[in-house]
Amino acid sequence: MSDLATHALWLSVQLALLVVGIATPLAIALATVMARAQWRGKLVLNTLILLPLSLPPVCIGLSVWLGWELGGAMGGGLGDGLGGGLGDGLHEVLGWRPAFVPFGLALALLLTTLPLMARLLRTAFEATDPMLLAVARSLGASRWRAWWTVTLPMAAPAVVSAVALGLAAAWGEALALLWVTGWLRDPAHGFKPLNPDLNLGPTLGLGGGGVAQDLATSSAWGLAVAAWGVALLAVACSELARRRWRRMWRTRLALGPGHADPNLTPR
Amino acid sequence: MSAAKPLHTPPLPRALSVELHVRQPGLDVRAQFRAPPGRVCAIVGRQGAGKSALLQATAGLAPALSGRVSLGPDVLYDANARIDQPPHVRRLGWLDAQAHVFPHLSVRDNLLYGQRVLGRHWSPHGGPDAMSVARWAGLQSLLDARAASLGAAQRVRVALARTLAAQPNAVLLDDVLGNVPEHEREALLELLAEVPTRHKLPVVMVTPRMDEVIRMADDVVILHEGRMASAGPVAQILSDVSLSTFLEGVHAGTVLEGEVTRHDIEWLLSEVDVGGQTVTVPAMLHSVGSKVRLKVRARDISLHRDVPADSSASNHLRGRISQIMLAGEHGTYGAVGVELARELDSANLQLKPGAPLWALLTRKSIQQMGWVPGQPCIVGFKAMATMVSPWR
Repeated sequence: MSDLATHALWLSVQLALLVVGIATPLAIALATVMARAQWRGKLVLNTLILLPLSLPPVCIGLSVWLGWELGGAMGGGLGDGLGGGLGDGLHEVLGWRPAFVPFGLALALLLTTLPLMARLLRTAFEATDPMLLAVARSLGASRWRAWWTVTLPMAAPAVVSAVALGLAAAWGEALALLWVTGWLRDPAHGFKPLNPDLNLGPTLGLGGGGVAQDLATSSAWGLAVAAWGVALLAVACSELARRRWRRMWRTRLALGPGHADPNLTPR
Repeated sequence: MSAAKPLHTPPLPRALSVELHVRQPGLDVRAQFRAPPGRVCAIVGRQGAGKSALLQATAGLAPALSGRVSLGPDVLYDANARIDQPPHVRRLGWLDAQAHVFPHLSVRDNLLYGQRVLGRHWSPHGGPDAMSVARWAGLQSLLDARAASLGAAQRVRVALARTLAAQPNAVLLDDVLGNVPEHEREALLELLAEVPTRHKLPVVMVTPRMDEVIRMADDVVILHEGRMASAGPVAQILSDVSLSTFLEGVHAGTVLEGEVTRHDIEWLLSEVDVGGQTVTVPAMLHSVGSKVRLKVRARDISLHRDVPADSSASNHLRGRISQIMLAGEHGTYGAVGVELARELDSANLQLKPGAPLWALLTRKSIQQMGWVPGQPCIVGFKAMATMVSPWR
């Protein structure tokens, strides 16, 4: 593999680890909130969280970048657009626009990885029998302690599954984003030519194409093989953990909550 | 939350008093009951009478509309004073048919759960430690087992031991034996019946099975469509002939409390002293001096003017007709209330009220015999018509 390929791999792995590290606790918190009984605004939150799942990652990357850029251009005209204000502020203080440096990339990655993980975890947190928590409460556990000693340990295999899948997805998307944005080629200056007024198609093609040429032949194949390997490993890990989770609580999942007859549970 | 602290001190036995208004879809439940330490209050009623909702609101697991729940002097819930302690402060141990053994923990860790979550609130002298409870519940050989490998009866044992090891302020049993197969119930009932006296805890139980009530309870509350239809001591309430209106699968009958006085080994019979009169029943294993409850169905009882000379019924108790009323769907038959002969108490000073008893007779036989309230009578029933249940 060429230096560039190794660099791309290493950078994307770092990015994926960072993003999943941030996304895991966030996804657990979101899944807990989403799994709770009906409350006002649950649908809105669910939609907002799951929306990025159905958008292509590049689109999210661009949106993030546009957000920063527009925010900067309008001088906080977006007002409540946090990204804009922040980007503008950072630009003024540091003279640096964070869109396509790893920070911006990480944010874009987080937005794609978080919904995936939250979605995976939600089923696990929803599957926890509320009466199990009620019993824990009656034994003297506060809401938080009951969550910590019952809900979380019971969902632990699902968390492992989500982390494995999240890592694979974040890594793949990190690689793709690095490639598409051309950040690999010119890391010092970030990705310059992109501008909201310009036609994005050819620009993106330029950026990607440049790297693609660099990575052509053997190093590209190397990367592809590595990607396949990682993806296989991650999905296998994820499925194993998920199977373990299902096996552990099969009683409830098979017979449903409520008046399950324990005599019927497979031993 | 300032009241939370005293509740965590070693649990001294305190009576649980409950007066609640709970709303369920399509049903308003209003009831009040009290369980002193070491005594069992049973809540019975048809399915959908609001029994479980009442119990859940007591534990703080479901919201109540109004009312008051207190443990001795400590208020757990008071709608007027806006006190609503969360379930982990109330610590009214909850047990139901699913047992809810934590599946991610071993039996040992299940038993230690209370100690673990109470943390610094755990008091080493506040109650029995987990291992002695495990011994009592017969769980030593299962300590390393996982919940998934346990049978229904074992789950209930684990859940019971876990509750008692968590130093609860009271124990709430919501149809605990509902999932336990018939042949395993007896052993569990024995264990459950030991809980109130052994741990000096108030116990509130909800169950659809009257044999469990007769076996365990001291007081009964009958809920009917969310209202209290009747409440009082077991022997008095369960001897009420109108009971079958409120309960399913219950035959009108009488519950008599007595003490085993003699075993007749030759004929395999036992004698029970009921308010100074002797009742003969089929032989049982309960030792002389132990307390038992006898259940006789009202339709199995016959009334006589004098002790009949030739009768296959071996029991003839003296009593007095207290009231006569029509019963059955269209007044098809009559229910005759009898008060058994009174006896002097142990100090021979006071008359204890005689136990009430009901006989279902046809209108014709009531007419022919000319029964009127106030008349003395002899109550006859066969030994074989008597169901004996140990009582504690």
